Amino acid sequence: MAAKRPLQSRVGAADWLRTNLFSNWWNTIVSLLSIALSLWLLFVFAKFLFIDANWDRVWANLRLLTVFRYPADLLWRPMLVIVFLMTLFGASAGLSGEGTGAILRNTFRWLMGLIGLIALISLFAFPAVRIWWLLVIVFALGGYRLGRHFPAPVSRPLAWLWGASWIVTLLILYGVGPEESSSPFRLVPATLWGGILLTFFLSITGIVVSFPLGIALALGRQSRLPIIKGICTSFIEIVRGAPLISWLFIASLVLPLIIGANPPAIWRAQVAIILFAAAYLAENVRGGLQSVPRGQTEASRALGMSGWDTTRLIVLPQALRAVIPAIVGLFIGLFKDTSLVTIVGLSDLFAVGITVTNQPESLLVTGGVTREAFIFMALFFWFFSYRMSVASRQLERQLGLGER
Amino acid sequence: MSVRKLPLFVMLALLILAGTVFGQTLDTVRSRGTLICGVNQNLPGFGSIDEDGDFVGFDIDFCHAIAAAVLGDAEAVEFRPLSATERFTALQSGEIDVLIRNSTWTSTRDVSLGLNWAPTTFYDGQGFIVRKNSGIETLEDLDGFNICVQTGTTTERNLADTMATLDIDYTPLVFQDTNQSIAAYDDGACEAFTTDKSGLVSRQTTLRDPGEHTILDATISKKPLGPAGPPTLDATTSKEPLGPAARHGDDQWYDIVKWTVLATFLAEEFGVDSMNASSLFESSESPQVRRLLGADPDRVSALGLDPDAFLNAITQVGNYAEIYDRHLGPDTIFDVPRGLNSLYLDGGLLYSPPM
Repeated sequence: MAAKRPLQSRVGAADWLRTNLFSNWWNTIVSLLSIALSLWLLFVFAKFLFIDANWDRVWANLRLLTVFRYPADLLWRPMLVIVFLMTLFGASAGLSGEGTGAILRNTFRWLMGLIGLIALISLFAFPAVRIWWLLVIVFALGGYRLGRHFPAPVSRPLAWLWGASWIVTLLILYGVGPEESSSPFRLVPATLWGGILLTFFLSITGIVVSFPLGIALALGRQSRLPIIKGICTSFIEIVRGAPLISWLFIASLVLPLIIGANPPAIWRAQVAIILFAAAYLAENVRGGLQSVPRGQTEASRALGMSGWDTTRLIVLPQALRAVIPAIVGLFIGLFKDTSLVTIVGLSDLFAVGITVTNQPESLLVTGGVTREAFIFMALFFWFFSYRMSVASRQLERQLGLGER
Repeated sequence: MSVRKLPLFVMLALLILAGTVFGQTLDTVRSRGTLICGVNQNLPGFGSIDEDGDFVGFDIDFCHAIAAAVLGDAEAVEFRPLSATERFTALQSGEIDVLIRNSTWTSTRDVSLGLNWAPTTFYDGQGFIVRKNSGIETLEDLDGFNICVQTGTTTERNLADTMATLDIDYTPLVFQDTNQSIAAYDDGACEAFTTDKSGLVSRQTTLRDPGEHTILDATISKKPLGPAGPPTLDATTSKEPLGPAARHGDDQWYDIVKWTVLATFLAEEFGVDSMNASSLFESSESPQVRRLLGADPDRVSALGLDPDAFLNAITQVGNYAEIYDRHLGPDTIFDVPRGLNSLYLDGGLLYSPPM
């Protein structure tokens, strides 16, 4: 009896390749073609990125792209905001425990990596702000240690500081005192804000304010009082019935004609963004509310909890937990949708990018600098959107969504 | 108009009225201490933002000139970048004092939108850029070719109208903005790209071989375009007179805007520029120059301005030729020939009534 040949082992890269990519002649052709195509695309892209692209214009315009026309001698003010917010964030990350707190720490660590990189670059290239970036690192790490080692005394003031952070940010950015003076605290009107600063301001304010508003609308829609229910439902349906761009137009063009006053463009756009996001968020939250079994409410009422406590402690936590992925998705969308404010004359990052491509100097570059500017903007948006979706995935895992 | 829509129109009319009935713009500007000027930030040569965040360009300088005339300080301007869609509403609602944003003066805008156009500061017109070696010399030569054009512009409509009149077949390739269109043209996606000639001139520098291309006039055709029109200068193709606009209902302010522009024309005509204006103010014997610079103060004062208003505008910003050369002239990357934008003495269209 002839000896059988030993079974071939099914481990190792070569075997994996053979079974998955080259199992028959047809798969082999498809695999070879797609590998060639990927390599070619990679080559074309890398060649453009590192050889053909002319990054001089983007580099020369970095200040414009980050803060737009915010006065050069007052750059310390946006930097102070970053120091302030990163200190708070550091303290919160230091305070946070295990589980969901770990996500906060991950995000903090990741942000610090980014800041470290920026600090390193500015150390050599941007003398005007390099001290400030080092300060950001020092204060953020200081905040972290503070939160870590003295959780008890830190936590209460921290909550208050977070509550006041928006006002403090506005105060620092706007400044006080007459605009004409050369004082370091002089007023900087919002028309001079722009670039990444404006993109962050609009989207973070939009996210933070629309969140409670959206929850309130969702609860209002569930209300048994017909007036409240009617108002909330019609608000949600009307706002959701038109695209954001039309609300931006209405806020910036029709509103001033109706109310006869001209609030600054940034606030008109901000209000439109908040209301739009709140209406969508309300529908997401409603989905969550409806997913909580009635038994939960009945049980809590049977235990003697008030209606408010039932909502706050029993229903909402479960409802929100169920819709976290949807809400994060909404916020990622909101973050990117802020670039629509271009249309009402605000200069967010996207608008400034376009402006850079239209400087006379940019026209001296063969092919213009449109591609370079768009790659820069795409990287920025991708970076932060990706980070948000990573955090949301970790959150889902921590909360055990989809496992029950 | 159907009866059902009537309330809507009444409301719209009221809204526009509410926007136009305003106090004296001059007083508002003076008490505010700055002029709010609606501009473009994305049109190289006319309005753009440099690396330091300052607005620069041909249109921008007319904002500076008006600020210098009204407030005595050319820097007392707050620039409000506006998109093409919102520009007229911004003017109607009083958000800006004057609109200088390469806006074409048309009858609809002048009449229905309630705007007043100051004298044209730049006469533009549609042109085509083609490759020199393509042999395309007239519009007829474009028969059967692809033409790149920007969507939603008067250019696109003019192209369609002209080609239909001439019975020329072409495929329009539409793009959202000029940068995309010119890139597509350079990649060979279309045989010609059309937009305003000033835009073509400024974009020619971004082509791989700028010297290999040439700009054709939209009016070049072998056949007459209109029933009775002359073969090469037809009114239906493209006239793009660009100039500052003020809103209806404040004639004094409109006069100020108008005469500030005219003052730059007159200054060039009389040989007054930013360097010699002060000394001419002291020494000039010419009655015209003296009236312009306010040495004889009646004419300028009658506008409600300080007698030295135009002296300020000319010393701080310059006469028309200086403004033009600074942003579009031979020393810039654009080098747009003056053409129609020359003084009437040189065969152009810049002609100011006497002062």
